[in-house]
Amino acid sequence: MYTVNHLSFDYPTRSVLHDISVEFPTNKITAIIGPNGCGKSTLLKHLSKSIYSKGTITLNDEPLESIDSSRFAKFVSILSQMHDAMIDDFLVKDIVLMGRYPHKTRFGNYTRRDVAIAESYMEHIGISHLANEEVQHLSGGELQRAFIAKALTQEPTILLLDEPTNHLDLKYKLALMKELQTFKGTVIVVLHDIQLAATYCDNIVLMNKGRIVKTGSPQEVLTPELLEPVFEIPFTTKTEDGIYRIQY
Amino acid sequence: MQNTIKALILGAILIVSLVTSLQFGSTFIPLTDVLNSLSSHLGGQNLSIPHMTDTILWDIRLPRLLYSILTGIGLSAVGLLMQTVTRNALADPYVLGVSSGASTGAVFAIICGGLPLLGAYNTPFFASFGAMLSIILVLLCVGKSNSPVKLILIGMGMTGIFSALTMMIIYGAKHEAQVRSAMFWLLGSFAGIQWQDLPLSAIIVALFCLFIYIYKQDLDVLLLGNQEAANMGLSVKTLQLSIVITSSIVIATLVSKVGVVGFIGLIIPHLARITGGPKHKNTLIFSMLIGSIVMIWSDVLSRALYSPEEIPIGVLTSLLGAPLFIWIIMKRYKNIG
Repeated sequence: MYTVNHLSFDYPTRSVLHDISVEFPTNKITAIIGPNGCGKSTLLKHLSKSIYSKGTITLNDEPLESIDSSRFAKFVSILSQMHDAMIDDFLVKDIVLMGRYPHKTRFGNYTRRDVAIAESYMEHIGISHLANEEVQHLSGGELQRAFIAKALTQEPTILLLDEPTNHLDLKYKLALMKELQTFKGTVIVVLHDIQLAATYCDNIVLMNKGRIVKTGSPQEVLTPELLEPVFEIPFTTKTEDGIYRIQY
Repeated sequence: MQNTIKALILGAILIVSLVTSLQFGSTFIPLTDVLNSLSSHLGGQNLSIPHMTDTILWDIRLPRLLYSILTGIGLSAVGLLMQTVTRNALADPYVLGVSSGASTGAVFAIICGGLPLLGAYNTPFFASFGAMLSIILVLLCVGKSNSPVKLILIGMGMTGIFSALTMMIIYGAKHEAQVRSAMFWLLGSFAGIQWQDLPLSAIIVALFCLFIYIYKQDLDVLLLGNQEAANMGLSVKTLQLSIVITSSIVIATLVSKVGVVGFIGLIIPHLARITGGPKHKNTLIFSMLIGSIVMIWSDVLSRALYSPEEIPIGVLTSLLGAPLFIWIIMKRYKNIG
């Protein structure tokens, strides 16, 4: 279980996280939601060891900073927003295969098993037909799915995803969320789509202005009383065919 | 076509280039004499060739040819890694300011005299010293950051400082011959390369290529970007530092002997990617092969075009390389807005 205790983070001109304490349950899907600039992605960056600051984060009671990066990558896979990649000429299958990098021996090559794992996740995510395409020929959505396949190829027990539904059309948004439901492990996902969070996630962390407003099940957290002051628009909710629906 | 076949074809072209290029220079030497000279030195058979021809081939052209191959391999491999570490297709081996530091050192030795007791090693010594000084200053300024943009910008700044110093030294020169000698060094030349120049450079370039081969998959992952590579468990800072230091040693070694040879380290990695794809395992092999071939023929042209005079090799590589680079960029971005 991920446990965050008294975490604070400031930029020189702005405070982003204020004394946050929260737990992320094992083998559940937790969505972090909140308005722009509330600190969702910053919290996820702390969970993924990209930033260290005041406060403690433990993973199964072990402080995050004591877990070295190569061991961490063996069981935690991170889908982040990339900025400075130079991979236009790479084939999709080569990018997905890089997901096996943390499991490779120091000077060894990728094995046949690694290739088979990468192929099975490309099939899973529905990008097998793009395997021999160059990255520069992909649409934003196709590229996002290739990176999701790479993250799964890492075969982690914990998945950290920063807005994974960006660029995806409705069909693939739903397919991704269903894929996360079948994932055998812990998922922590930053989402903008509140309805997706309500339908597919077990646990919600609602944030506003660098603080945790409430954590709990979708029915406990995604209520008009809590959502309206955070998003500053009116909400209504109802349960239909067993699905908790949120309208705005 | 499979990469193995492409590599075999380029390997064959390299071998043919190796032998045929030895014919060209201030005097044309027939192929039979070239082959006879090589077999008498390598195979131990005493075949009859004029002594002068044998001396030209074995003591002048062959060490020069082998050094041009080393330079082609070294510059291409360093260019490849500079483009990887900065994720910038415009990066070349000189992006960190190493060559500018070397130039300042060399020009200081040529014009101000350096340490005359070093004799023939005076210029290479000061060039190496300048190169290492510039990279130490770059690393000190970059500090703990692993930002590729910061690395490039500080490298550019350092290039500016050392280029200005070089110009100041040249401006203060008292004799025109010194200026001409400095300019010739700055534009690169294989003239004067001897057998004893080869072993150390060959070891350094070979170790560097081995380094790339060993870390080929780590380098592929680095192309995903620093943050993503770190997420995958790669020690980005350590790898980046190793690349910068080893590349600088290679550049300092080569530049101290032959001066600044432009464009090879920029265009060859692009040609290698077009030929064999973007994975470092392939780009390394194709960079080595294409870099060697291009360098051999550039040197032949530099000797043959105005024979018996010689054009600085850097002028020729820029003259050939720049249009080729423009063509590559136009081809590559044809379908991209």
